[in-house]
Amino acid sequence: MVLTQKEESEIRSSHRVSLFNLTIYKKFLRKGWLMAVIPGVVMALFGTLMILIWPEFEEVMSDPAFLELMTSEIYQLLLGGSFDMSTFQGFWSIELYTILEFLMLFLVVFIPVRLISNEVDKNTLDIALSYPIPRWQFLLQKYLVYLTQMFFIPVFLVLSALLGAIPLNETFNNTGLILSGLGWFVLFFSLGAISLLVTTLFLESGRSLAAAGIMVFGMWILDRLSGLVESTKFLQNISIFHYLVPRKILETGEIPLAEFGLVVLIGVMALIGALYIFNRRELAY
Amino acid sequence: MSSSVSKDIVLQVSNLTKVYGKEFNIGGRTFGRAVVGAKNVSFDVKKGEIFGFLGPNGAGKTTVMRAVLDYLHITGSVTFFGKLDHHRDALLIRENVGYVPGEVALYGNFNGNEIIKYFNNFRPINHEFVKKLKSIFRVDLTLKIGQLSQGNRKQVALIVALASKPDLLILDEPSGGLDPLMAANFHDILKELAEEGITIFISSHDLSEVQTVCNRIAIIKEGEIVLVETIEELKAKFLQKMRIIFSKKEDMPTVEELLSLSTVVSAEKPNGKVRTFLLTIEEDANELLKFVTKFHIKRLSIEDATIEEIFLQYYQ
Repeated sequence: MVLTQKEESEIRSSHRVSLFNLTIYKKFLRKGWLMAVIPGVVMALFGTLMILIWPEFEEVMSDPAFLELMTSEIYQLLLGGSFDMSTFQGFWSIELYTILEFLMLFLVVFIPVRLISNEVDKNTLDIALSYPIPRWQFLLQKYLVYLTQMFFIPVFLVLSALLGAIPLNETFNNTGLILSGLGWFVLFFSLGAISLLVTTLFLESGRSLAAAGIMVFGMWILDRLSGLVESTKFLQNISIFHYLVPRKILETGEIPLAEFGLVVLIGVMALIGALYIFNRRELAY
Repeated sequence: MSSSVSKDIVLQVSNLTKVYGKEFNIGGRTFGRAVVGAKNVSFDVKKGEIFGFLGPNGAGKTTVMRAVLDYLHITGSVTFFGKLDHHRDALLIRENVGYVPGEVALYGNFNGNEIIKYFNNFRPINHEFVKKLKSIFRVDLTLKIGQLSQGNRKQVALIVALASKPDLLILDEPSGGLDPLMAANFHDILKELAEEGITIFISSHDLSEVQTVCNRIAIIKEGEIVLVETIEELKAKFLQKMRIIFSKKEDMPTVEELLSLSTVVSAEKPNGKVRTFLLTIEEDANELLKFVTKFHIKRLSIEDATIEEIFLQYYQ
């Protein structure tokens, strides 16, 4: 018995694949909603605390001796630039953005890497991918869960800043505040995409975490430490952190479009690379 | 792949070869290591049959199953439903293929009902059949997967895979971890599904399971298929066991006389039993029967070799 063209097309048409099914996104977001809320709420609470203690610290921050200390080159390098701490906005951002930067270094490595490596370690991919969902879509939806979780961090931070400043009659550069929130989100996006790309290459969590950690922490160290010596300053150019500094965006109220575009482009390329590799690679582990 | 493929063949595997790792030869020295997981594996599974894939741990069963499902890069070809290529048409194939891996792992923070609902979004389930499966397996689906034993997780995975009644079920050692009663119930379900026309490709190293449920089997050894036969053909082709008890010890042959017959493979007398002989014989028993009937026989029985014995013959 031989299949005719008609019979073949009947077999094909009887198999219908839904190309846009957000089940994975919805399910994993529901299961991981705490991760969407906790970091943002913690940062917002900490930001509110900074706002509340500002009246006590205002005098200290204006002390010339303290301001002199802030002009130290090493201090500026660690903070990513020269910033004025004597203003309400400067005080708030220098504390909050430094903490958020360190938090981000961990979040952009651990969460994207574990999106897939956790499934590999626990062997859950075999069943999950035996269903008619394209692998790239599986990965993209899981990455969208991460992006949604990270989206709430700048949102909560900005909202807490705007609301917290009202009782003190203090003001932020609102445009700068919102744009810096966008800057944070783009950094979460691009650095997370790089970690995801690394994971699709290694799959297993130990090696993925190590490689993604080296990439992300390496870029951060390059940006901060290579600026110490004139002859190594060019190394800053290969770090994403060099192109997008949320603290600067807050201060200037402007987002550097070319640099912003470059960081977005790197993130998009890394994400496309991750989706492509995961779609094609063999799952031998 | 030829365009003339039988409609009755649900899965056709041709010359499937999988090599893990790579070896490089630089300056006469070998670097890396290549391990053959499967070599020129060819077989087909027909519509409505239960096809067993038999072999000990490490023989290549899981490699072949994962390769068939397009998890591994291979050489050779795998065709589903007569025309669908396992790689090019992977999504179409998955609409109608259920899979349970050997090591079942489901999301630990989902409960059983959530898992069923979650996968229902990708391949709609048959609710009536799920009710039946729930009553048979009796696993508490309100508990999180992380709270279940390995055997209960396997039951949830089986419910999930069977729930949509796909055209083809690929089950990698599915009854591992199930208690005997549950395994028997599961075998009944498989037989019912096969009667409905659902094709089942099942791997196992549990020989009695294969003997109970399969219509045909393939034996895989060190990555190569060494045999593909129906259970009946296999038993007929292989050695049989004969037990003869003679009436008088003065009127019976010697072990040497029995062994001199061409169909007798082995002959022995069990300890303490003077008039009893245990023989292993080849398919044609005529010569032996003609010979032993010269003596006065009290009792004679012939049994087919079990699948275990056949399997061991291949592996020894």
